[in-house]
Amino acid sequence: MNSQIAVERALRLITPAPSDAEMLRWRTTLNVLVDPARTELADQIHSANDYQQRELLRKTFANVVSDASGLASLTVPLTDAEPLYLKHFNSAEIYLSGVTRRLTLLPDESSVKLDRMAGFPFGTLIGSNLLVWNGGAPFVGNVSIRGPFIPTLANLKTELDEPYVLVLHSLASKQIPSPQRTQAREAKAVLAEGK
Amino acid sequence: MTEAQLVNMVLEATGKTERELPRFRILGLAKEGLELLAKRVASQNGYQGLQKDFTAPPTAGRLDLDTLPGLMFDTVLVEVRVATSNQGITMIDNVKTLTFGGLPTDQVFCAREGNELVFRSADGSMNTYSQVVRVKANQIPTLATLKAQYNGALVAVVAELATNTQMRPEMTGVSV
Repeated sequence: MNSQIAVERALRLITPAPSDAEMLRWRTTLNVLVDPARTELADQIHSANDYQQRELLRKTFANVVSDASGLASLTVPLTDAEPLYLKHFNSAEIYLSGVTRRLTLLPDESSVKLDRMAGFPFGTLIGSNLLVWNGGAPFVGNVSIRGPFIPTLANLKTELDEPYVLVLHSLASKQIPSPQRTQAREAKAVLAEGK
Repeated sequence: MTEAQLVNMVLEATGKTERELPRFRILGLAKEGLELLAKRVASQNGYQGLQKDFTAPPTAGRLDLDTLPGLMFDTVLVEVRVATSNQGITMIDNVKTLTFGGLPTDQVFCAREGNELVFRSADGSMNTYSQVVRVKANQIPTLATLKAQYNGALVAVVAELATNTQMRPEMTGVSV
C-alpha cells in the first residue's frame, strides 16, 4: 500500500461521487490525513478486542538498556520508522535479560520501588523512559520489548489495507469511527452513517 | 485545417459571399475563434478532446507555466506525471498545504502558485525537484494542429464571431 493508492481508494468511498473540483479538495484533505490515519488505525486496532488483528501491529523492538537507576530510554523505539505506540504501552510484553518472568507494568513510580521478591520485575513509564526494578533494586541490563507500533504504509499488512482506507475516509469525512467499525465487515455500516 | 478551408467553410456556414464577408475578416478571427473554442471545450464534459501533453523540466522545484505555449492550465483538469516513469504526481489545491500540510513522503506533490507549478519532492523538500514532468492539459490549438473532428466547431465559432449571431449550441464545440 502507498499513499496514492490509499487516497484513491478512500476517494471512491465518498458518496455522492464528488465533482472534479470537489475531487481536488478531497484529494488534498485525504493526503493531509494519510499520516494521522496511520496513528488512528493503530489506536483503533489496539483498543479493539480482536487479538489477531492486534498481533499484526505488534513487533519486537531492538533491546534498550537500563542504567544504574533502572531507567531505560525509549528514544530508539520511539523514533523508529514504525515507532512504539506509547499510548498502548500497557499491552507490551517486556522481559529483562536473565529474568524469565515477564515484567509487570505499574501505573506509578512509587509502587515499582516497593520491596519485592527477586525474579518478579516491575516497571513503569516515566515520560519517554522505562523505569525497571527487580527484587527491590534498580535493574541494570538489556530490556526487550515486544509491543504495539504505528505502521508505515509501505509495510502495512494486506489484511489492514481496507481498515486503513476506511479510517482515512472516516477522518476526512469527520466521522471518527469506533474501533469495531474499522473491521472490514462493517464497511457498509460506516458508509451508511456517512450518508 | 488550412486557411483556405476555413474561409470556404465559414462562407458556406454563414451563407455569405466573400464580398459580404471578406477573407481577411475570417482569417483575422481565426485566432480568437480557436481560443473561444478551446475555452468552450475546456468548460464542458468532453474537455479531454483538446488535451495534450506538455513536457518540461522544473527548475529548483518550480515550473514556469508561461513557458508552455498554448497551455490552458486548470488545476481541476490537468494531470501531472513524471515523464520518464509515468508515475502520477498528485495535485494539491494550494501551496500552503503543500508546504505545511504534513503530506506523506512516499510520492511527489505539486500545487499551482501564480504562473508556476511548485513541486514537493518525495523527501519533503520544496526546492529540489527537477525531473522532467508531463502536464496533460487543455490547449489552445493552432489551425494546423486542430483535430479534424473540431473543424466544424471552429467554423461555427468563427462564423458566430464574424456575424455576431449566436450559432446553435451543438455547432459551437460544446457537444463535441
